[in-house]
Amino acid sequence: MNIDKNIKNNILLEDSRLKENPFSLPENYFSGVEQQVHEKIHPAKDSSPFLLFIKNTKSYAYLALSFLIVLGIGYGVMSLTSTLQESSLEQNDIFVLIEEGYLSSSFIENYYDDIAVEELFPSSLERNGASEEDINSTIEESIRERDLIEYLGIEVPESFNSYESNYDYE
Amino acid sequence: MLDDKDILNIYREGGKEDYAFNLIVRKYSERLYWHIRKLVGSHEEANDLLQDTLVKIWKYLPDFREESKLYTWLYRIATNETLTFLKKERLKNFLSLTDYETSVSNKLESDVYFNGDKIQAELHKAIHLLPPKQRAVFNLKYFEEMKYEEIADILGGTVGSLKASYHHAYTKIQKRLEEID
Repeated sequence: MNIDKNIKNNILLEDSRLKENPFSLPENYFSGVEQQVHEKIHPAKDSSPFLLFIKNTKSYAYLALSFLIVLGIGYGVMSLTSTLQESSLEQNDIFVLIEEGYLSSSFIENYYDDIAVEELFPSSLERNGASEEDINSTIEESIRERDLIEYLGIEVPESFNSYESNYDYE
Repeated sequence: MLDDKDILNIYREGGKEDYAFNLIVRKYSERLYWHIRKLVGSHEEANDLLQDTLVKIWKYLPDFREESKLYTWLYRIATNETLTFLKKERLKNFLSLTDYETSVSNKLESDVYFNGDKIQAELHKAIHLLPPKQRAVFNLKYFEEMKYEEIADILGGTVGSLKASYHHAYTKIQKRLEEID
């Protein structure tokens, strides 16, 4: 069965205009096609050496840029860490100075001279009716060198006994 | 102008690939362009597709074993490129919920490179409303007057299925043209 014969005598066959090409083109279009395709097939040959270099090294440039960014971040972290290390060294120096007695190790020690005993223990002093001077003099009077030596547990030289006998504490 | 056999012999001589390819471009770019243009409608899209087709021809020419005629092989590449493009376009239209018929109509009416009269405009609108492969069958048979065997070599499928496809396309277009005043 010929399908084409079944649809004879119709507009598509009768009107000859329908087979004509109704489309047009920009002028000299086909003369440019060959060149455009050539450029697509051989893009490297037509590029300038600089552009070719850029194109070929683009991936390496991205890699180098990434490396520089990582390096920058690393440098930043290193700088920050070394600053912290310097600070801790300074802190260590402070501890050494404290240990050696050049610096006070606490708030109380630092400000000891400025703090009155009454301010620290006002209620106990008020309760006993004693002043700071009274407390200090009581401590000085009640503690002897012998008490300190016994407390420290050191051997007492013979000369100390004779010294002590000459000194009346009572 | 050299025949296809001579061009292929030059291509295989070695060192003359560019020259032989340029001969193919000069001989066939116009025919391929019009084949693509009638399938897609606009010059810009036809130009892009022609260039992509020619680049693919250059790429696959070393593998061409002359199992088919050179021009049917060239048409096959051009048609495949165009049908792939048309399928994507159809999907885009579907996804954007645009009325495809209106879109086709507007595209043709706003085309500065379309110089046809009313009936020609209606014919090409009707062609553009066909499914892509049916459109290709219709164009190759109606405008290029190819034999079904040649169309089968380009599009694949059997002669019988291509005849049926052409008949469906023809009937749809005929019906549409009868509706216009």
